[in-house]
Amino acid sequence: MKLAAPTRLSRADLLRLSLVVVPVGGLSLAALVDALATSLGADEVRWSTIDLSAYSDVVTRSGFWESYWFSLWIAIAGTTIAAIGAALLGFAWTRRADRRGRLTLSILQFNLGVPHLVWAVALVAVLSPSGWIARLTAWAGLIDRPNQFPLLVNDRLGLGVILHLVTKEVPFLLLASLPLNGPRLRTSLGQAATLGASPRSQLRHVYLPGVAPAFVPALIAVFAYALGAYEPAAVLGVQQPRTLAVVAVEWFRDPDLRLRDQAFALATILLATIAVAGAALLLVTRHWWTHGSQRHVRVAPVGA
Amino acid sequence: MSVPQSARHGRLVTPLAAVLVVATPIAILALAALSTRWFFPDPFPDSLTTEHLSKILGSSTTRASIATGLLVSATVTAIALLVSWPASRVLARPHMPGRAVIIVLLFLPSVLPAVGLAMGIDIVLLRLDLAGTYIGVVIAHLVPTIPYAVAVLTAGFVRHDRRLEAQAAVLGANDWQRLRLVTLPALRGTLLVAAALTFVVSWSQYLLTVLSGSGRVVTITMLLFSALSGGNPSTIGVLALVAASPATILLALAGRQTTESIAP
Amino acid sequence: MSLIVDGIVKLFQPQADPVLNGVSFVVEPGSVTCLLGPSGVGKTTLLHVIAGLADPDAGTVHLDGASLDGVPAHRRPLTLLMQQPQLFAHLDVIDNVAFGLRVRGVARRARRRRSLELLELVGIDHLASRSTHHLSGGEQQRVALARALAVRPAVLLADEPFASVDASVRRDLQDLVTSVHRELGTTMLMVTHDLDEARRIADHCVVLEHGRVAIQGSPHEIIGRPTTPTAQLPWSAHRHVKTTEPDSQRPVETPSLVNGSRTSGARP
Repeated sequence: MKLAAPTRLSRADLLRLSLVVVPVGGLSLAALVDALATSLGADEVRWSTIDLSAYSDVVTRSGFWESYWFSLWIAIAGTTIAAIGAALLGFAWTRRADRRGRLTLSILQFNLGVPHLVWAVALVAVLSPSGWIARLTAWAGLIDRPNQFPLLVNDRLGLGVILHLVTKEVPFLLLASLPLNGPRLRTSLGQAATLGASPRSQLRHVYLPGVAPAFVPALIAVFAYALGAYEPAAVLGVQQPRTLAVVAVEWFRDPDLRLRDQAFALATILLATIAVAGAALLLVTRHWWTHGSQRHVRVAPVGA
Repeated sequence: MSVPQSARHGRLVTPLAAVLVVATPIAILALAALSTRWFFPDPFPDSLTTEHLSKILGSSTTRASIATGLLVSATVTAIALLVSWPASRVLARPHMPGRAVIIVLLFLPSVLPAVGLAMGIDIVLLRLDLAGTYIGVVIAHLVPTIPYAVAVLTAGFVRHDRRLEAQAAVLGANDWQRLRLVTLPALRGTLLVAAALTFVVSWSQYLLTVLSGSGRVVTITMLLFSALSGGNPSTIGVLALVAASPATILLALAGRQTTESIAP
Repeated sequence: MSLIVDGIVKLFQPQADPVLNGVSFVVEPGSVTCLLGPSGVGKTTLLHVIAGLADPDAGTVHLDGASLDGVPAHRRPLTLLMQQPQLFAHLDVIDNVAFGLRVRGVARRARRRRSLELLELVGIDHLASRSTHHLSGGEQQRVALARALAVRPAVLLADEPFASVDASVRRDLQDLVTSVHRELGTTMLMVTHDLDEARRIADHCVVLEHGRVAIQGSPHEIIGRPTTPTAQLPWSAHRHVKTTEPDSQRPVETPSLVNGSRTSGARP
């Protein structure tokens, strides 16, 4: 063996890389192309039949825009609260530099391994009108019947889904951004403090730029998950309006093949929304990328 | 030096809050699984019984779905680790041309809408005549799992000191001996974390399994989902616990290292 | 076992000046040769080229008349002590020492016996079944030394092996190397930037500067002459001042190194 790592990619290296890129990137790209083609009506690779009828059918359906705004509200609210929570918690733990943060982090990572479906079911068991908190409230004499308890799951505002996203994605964001450069950030924060930076400007000018290279991509993944995930909305959402993701799965599994085209049109609309939101997020955070932050490369795991 | 009483208590507030948020919902599911009649407004069931637990765990449907899940997730873990190991080694090099492209491609599935991805993969598998088969489900699961395996292993290789292998080479160890006697033992912790995460991510999939398995490959999350409409709370509790258990066991096993290993 | 380094050239960047620009010297069988020079002069790189851990851009390394060109590191009969001990953390002390024997297929009992002998030689046989985690820096380098010697290398290469330990331990280790060498007669090529260390250990010194061999000879010749080109450079001037102090305290030691039995070639 040679001690210095090669600086060029050999043919064997390309083979090694393709073993992970083909199943992940290849299959995703194939799925993407298939989804687009199907939504455009080019089912049997007859590109001549391309039309936008699936899209026009979808957006003119009654309830589409209601579903769209509902999905978007859940995704934006969930992502924003998760982002603020993860940023503040991460900042506090990095600053204090004690074992408490580490301990809490390792507790939170258990939650990361719990399947989304199980977590959604668990939240129903705790928060529903006949759930555990309602029972505690009744036991304390504050309410008599379940329907006196405020509706926290399966509610019109999507509070249950948002709560699910926040509790599941705050640990994800912390784990994705903190361990990367915790010790170095701690030193920088201390240095900023000795130069007279208030906690607020430490957060803005040191912590956020420091975690941004990991935090921002993870945040885009969280938004994508919040908008396009099935399980949380299916379990914790309402019948009317349903999120677009739930509707898409329903149509996809319908025997009517025209509905399948429309399901892919919905997926494409979700994808376009993610692209716009992701671009906006990168634009808003661009000053964290252009100066102040070390540009380290990392492989971000899937946000789910 | 004496620490004020309040500060000493304060030190445990955040971890305790985390335990409360994470553990309470799971504990309520466990109580539901262990009780037969737990009515509003009782905050706790009158009595606990394992009657329901053993009944559901003993049913052939549950057992078959557990076996299916173990088979699928174990296969996915093995394949994901096997392909991610050499790739991560290349990705961990200090000078790696084209790294950004690879990372974008690995990151792609996590910014696609999950439902669209699952539907699209199903169509691809239908084309390949693999939808509804074990192999099809395994291929589908590779999409969300490999990025995790690569992330953890790459981080491990970045921290790993190549001079250790150089030392082994100078002492006479050939490629295979270096892998077996030096690299694998040195990265055992990283490998364990990667395996745990991969297994858990695969085991947790619901929609991807439903669509790629065409309802023929039935795992525990699918039983849980069907039980949600009209199933009784104990059944839901038991199935949810089973669905969450490998996650808990595996992450507890790997827990100590995860914090350090998840990011390169 | 003579080691011939012949015209080694090594570039780091294609356009830049080569780090090593035609380095040639001979390591006599049974000798201890020290490779000296300022930091960044390519001493470590040269050892890596000799060990097979780096490819030279030109030049050859010969061992006993045979070229080592294209021979992979694991097939070269050389071992290398690195700056850090690089112990295998998952193996205990004796299994670390036995590593080279294990990969050569030596039976378990035989390799344990041999490893114990080596541990005894470096004076830490009582640590044989310890984990390597709690060893001191000096003990770790002793394990590394025993491990490098266990396979009976034709040449032991050493890259500032005592740089990572503090001064008093360094003294002990230097004495240990001298006594081990007296015992086994292993040919050694050792990199150092410490003239005092070279003076204590070496039979022969090779000084690298600007990618070439600037001067070579016995430690007495190198260090004794203030007019050598190296003596005018800051790094060596500094070292020189520092290293003259022990000399003046023990005036008999320098001549004994040069004229005494150690350089007379009377080795097994």
